[in-house]
Amino acid sequence: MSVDMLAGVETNFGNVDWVIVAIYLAGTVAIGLYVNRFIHNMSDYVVAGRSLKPHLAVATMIGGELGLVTVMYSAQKGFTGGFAAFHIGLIAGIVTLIVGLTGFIVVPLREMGVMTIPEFYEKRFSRGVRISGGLLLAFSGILNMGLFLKAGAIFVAGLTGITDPTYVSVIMTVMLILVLAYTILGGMVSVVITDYIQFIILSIGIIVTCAISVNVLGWGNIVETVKSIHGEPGFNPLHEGGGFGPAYVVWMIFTAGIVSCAVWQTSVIRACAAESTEVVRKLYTWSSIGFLIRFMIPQFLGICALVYLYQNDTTRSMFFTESGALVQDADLTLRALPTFLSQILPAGLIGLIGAGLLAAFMSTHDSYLLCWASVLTHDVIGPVAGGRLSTKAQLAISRLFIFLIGAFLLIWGLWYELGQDLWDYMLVSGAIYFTGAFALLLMGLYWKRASTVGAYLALVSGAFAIVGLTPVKLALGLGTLSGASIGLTTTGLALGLMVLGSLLFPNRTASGEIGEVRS
Amino acid sequence: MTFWITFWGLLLVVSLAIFAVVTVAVAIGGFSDIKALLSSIESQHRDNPTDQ
Repeated sequence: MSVDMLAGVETNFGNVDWVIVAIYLAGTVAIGLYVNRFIHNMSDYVVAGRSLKPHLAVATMIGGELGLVTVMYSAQKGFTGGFAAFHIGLIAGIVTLIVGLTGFIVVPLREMGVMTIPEFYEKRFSRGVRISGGLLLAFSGILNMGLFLKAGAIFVAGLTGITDPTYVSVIMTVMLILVLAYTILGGMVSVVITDYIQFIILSIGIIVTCAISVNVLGWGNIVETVKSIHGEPGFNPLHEGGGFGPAYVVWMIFTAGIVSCAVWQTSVIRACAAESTEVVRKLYTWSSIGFLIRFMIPQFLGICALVYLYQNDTTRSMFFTESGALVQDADLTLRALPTFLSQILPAGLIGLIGAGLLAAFMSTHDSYLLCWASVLTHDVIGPVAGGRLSTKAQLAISRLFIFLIGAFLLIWGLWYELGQDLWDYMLVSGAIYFTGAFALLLMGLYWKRASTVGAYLALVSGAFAIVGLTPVKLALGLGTLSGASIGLTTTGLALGLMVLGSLLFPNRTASGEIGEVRS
Repeated sequence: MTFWITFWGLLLVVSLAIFAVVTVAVAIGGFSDIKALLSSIESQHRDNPTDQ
């Protein structure tokens, strides 16, 4: 499916909106460049000198996670799954609240004073586990963000009405260069400040957009249309007939809940950057509403897009079959939200919201680029070099990795065919890391007998999650298995091997006793 | 199905209302946190000028 497919669709995006976008993005980059003067060492660069206070920590947590890509994949889930998709946000909010109240995983990590999860691996297990875990984490994380540029390009095309793929590619490349410039120079300090600005603009923007959508479409009309397109599976997430069902809901408790707030490095790095464990608890408690909203509001906008595009004569034939069923094309359903926004928002407002979402796109990129480059530098190159790298060398290597990851994103985004909902692609690619990492964190923090051999086995077993990617699944003839069942099986395997490996090959303390060895 | 329609509708309204309040609180508090962050990093480097 090419962007030409939507060539006949008008957009409200005009010259004034281009000006708003240009001013907004230029201002964001200028801030990133300005704060470069505050960066003196690796701690400033990666965790902002561990000086984040509660309000800013919450803004950067939500701002970093409420990116354009989150909006796009959540809207796609709302579009294809209806109101039943809300269970993802509900689970994310409740689990984050529980993590905030109990301090599960994140408080012990902050108490240990680590900057990254692999650093914890070394303190708890061994240097080898840290290097292996760091490589796996970076591989999974970079693959996970591999389609961010593609999602951004689809958004720009749908919102602005640009249908020439060459122009879209040029715009995305320019944006990537801007992100690389201020992330390479400003590090975590620029990330938190731009996240803060983006948080405010985007929060106001999405609340206003929701109000406009309900006003134009009408609540009763929205509910009735979803009912006629999806039926009961459009409301009941436990219904097997739709895209969800009990196994999917359990998978969400693990992924959208525990993993996204307490295991995924880009969230954990903010806990590590917090001023104290008390701030960590406040951060997670207050961010729980953000974790709920970051899924639910874009999903609601996806539902509104479903209703609008279904009832619009021009777009109905593009997104629906003659019988009124949704077209099964992941690339196309990803275009539903920007197409809807381009129709329903007035000139001026569309520019502001477009700028906010594009800034969000840059914000997610900067957080992720910084995160994976830091992991590679701090947890792979650093330990391999025996801790002999100077701060200057570490910063230079981090910046080189940011550049290299950026180059990979351009190539992967152009080459890879999606074949499944973007959210499900991200879960599977992320699962390569987090299924094993969860076992290491859970057992490493709360079970004294967890051993180095068990840790290696759990990390390796997580790699089986790659089977959940549609092209891999089809190549292996496993097309009938869902990503959720593959992910849950891999998680169980990682936990089982962690326990088995630890019992069969326990660590021994200096006195020869079986038990926890911390460096 | 009626239960789910009512439940999701209420959840949406309540979440939006709480989010609006959190946005205002974080916007105001976050501004002073930024000033504190920058001065904290500056003072860390004044106290440890060799930490480069």
